[in-house]
Amino acid sequence: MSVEDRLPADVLSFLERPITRRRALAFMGLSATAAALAACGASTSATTAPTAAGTAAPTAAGTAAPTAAVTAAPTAAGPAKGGTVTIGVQDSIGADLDPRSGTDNAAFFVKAQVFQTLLQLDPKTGTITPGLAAALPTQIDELTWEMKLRPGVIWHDGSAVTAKDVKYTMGKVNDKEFNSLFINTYNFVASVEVIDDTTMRFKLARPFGAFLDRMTGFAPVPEAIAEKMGRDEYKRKPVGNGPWMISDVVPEQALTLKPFDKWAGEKPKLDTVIWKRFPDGAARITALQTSAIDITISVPPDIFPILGTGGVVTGTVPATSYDAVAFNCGKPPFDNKLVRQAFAHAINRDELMQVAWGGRATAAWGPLPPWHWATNSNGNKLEYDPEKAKALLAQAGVTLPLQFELLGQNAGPQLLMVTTIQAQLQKVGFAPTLKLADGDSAYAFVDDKSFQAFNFYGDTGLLGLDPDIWYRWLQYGTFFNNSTEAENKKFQVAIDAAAAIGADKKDERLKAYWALQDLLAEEQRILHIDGRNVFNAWRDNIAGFQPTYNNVPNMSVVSKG
Amino acid sequence: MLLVPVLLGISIVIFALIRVAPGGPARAVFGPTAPPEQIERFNRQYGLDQPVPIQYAIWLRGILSGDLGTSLVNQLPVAALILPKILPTALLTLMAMLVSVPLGVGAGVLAAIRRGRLTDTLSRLGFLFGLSMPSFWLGIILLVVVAVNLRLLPAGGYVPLEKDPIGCLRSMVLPTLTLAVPIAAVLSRVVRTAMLEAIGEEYVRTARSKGLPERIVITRHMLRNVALPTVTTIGLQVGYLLGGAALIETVFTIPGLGRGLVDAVTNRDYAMVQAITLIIAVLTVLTALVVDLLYVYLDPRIRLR
Repeated sequence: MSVEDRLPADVLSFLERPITRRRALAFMGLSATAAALAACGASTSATTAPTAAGTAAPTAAGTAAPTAAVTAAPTAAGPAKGGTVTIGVQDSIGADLDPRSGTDNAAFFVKAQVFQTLLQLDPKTGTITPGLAAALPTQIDELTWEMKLRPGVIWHDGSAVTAKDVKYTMGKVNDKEFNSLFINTYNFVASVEVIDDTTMRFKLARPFGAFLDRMTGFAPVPEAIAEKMGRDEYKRKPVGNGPWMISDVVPEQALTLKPFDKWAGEKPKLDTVIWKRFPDGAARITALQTSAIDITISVPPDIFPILGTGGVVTGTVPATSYDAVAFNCGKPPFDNKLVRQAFAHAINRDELMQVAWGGRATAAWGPLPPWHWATNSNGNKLEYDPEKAKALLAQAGVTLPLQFELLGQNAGPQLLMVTTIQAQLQKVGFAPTLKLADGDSAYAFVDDKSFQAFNFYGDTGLLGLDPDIWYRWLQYGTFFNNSTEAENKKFQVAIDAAAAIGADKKDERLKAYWALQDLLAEEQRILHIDGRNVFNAWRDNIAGFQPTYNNVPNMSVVSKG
Repeated sequence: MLLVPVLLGISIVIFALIRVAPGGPARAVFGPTAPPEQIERFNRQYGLDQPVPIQYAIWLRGILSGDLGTSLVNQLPVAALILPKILPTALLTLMAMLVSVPLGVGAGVLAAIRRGRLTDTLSRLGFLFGLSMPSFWLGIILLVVVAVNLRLLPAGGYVPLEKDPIGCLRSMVLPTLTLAVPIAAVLSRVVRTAMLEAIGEEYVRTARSKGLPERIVITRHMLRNVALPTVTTIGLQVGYLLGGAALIETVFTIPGLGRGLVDAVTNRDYAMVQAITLIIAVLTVLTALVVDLLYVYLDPRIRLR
């Protein structure tokens, strides 16, 4: 049956009528009017592409977080004005907001506002300072640290924060039955010994130089309250000791915070903070433009350049998230190091960053963010060199064109990146077939080890900024690279050796991580492409808001005019 | 009679399809880089390592006892998560039909009785425009023009009806228009075609020859005969609205069934996918039943057996 046969008779007769000049002009006029109306709302002045500001000088103790580049001079936080600020986000508000186990953005947001960590990382100076702790802990011996809590700190129900709560929390996190992802972060702690109400000793399972760094992410929970509420209820609406309390949670949709009225520190300047889901990027930006929301921390990168006018301020800062390619080293062709190195030389990072992020990213050569203190910017780099890529493929003796499956994601900047990688590889003799999956479902092919090369993105920074967590997460096990245990051993030894160097041996630590970076660059089990930026936007009547490297804003310093 | 086998068939297909897709709810809970042992522990804990037929039997037993299951991603009963989604979708469906039916039927009638004239041409242009234009594009244009530029209405988001009825209705205007335009376009075409057929019928000539006013000829005689295909089309559109408005719910940030289904599929939240699909299937079948009953009322020649 032809198209014509399927159309109603009157539609067909309409289409077959001759188009008169009057009809054509009327149609064009209507179309032009509609287009003009639509264009009215679009910004006509492009925002000057923000450049990443220089990093603060790294300190020995921690990592200086990069400072944000904004389109308007950020206003200093003004006097307390109250009011409600709504933050529009892309992701769903998950079921688990418990800092012991929650892993989505909402959970990290809650941890930052509702809880206090034992130590704090000052993002401006990169220095580690006491949080819940009264002072920086004291190292008793290679495997023991002693810490005292600040006296007088209370949970939101008025009960005191004690060393028992710290012991309880660590015990749960490291309990396999509790099934927290963070067991991988804190399992270097063998036990916590309570000395008195505010004093405890951490007994380590092995020497660990990043103890202070790791405690900047550890937020104790109240044992009595958590046990009374039960796991399910506590996950949904955890009780903390921070400047904010959870007032309401609408599953998947919204999270409301109100200030804790007995907070001893500087009082939050707002009456209410709402973390609200807007899944569609265009709808989120429209909501910002109409002041339905005040801040969004998820600006689609293709819209970012055209914002920054009409009462909207934009800001971007190098983040901890990254793009990379993982190789299945357990099966051909990427069980051959020469082939992996050829892949690395075939990749043009500048082009990839331009295509996917409009150039707002930073080339990466190792697991750590490019701005991290332990990153060696002059280290071993397998730079873009198509001729070298071809030579390595020839040396590897593989049949050309070399066919394999390149796994990637089927939407957004990730899709742009994987298709560009495919094109770059084709120029040097690879013949990748794209295998695209939605969201995290691509990891099914990593789980079953069927993948060959996987273009993925990650953000290990939500777990911490010490180099050990980064290397351990990506390179310690065989999950991503499918190496044999024997092959993996040398990496585990190097990672453990670096982790064991005491925090006071700064130069030695640096050398160890630089050597690790070079080793991994040579092996190319994971090819790191870039460190991404966060893209935030907010109304110009919002003061005190700054984009952060981990996309978790500090709402206590934000005010609304 | 056919309701049960239809629902059973749908449930089996959906149960199997969602499990064929790679990935599972564990990744949605733990994130992409969770170690395999964590994933395995999660799957063991929630019976996802069981054979699929066993999982289906367990789920079916729960359904038959009124238990829609637990969302593994949200760790809440599915019923508790779905209930708040039904009202926004129902409201959107109702408002879209309240706008599109009078608009579509009215346009169709006018086009038919003024065939060949400007009204008819505009109606047919409207039909093409309404049908050709992607609904999400229309939604975004309305957002930009009405909400951003003119600031007449909110830019999306859903205000619960019980909290602020006026705010709720205001927040539903733009999504209603977005949904109503293509439906009205289809309806206008169906009504016009049926009216043109009716105009040529003998009973219309008889009615006019009796001296009845044209208004009475149209409303009392012609429209009754046009009602059958119109009701059929309306029934089909209601079924589409109940389950297929996910794009519009996304653009306008309405936490309805459509958006909930998309999220559930993305997160591989099996229980939510199965429950929402079943609910949409039941509502669609019930809509078809209502349409069948309306046939009997509208056309006395049709008898229920």
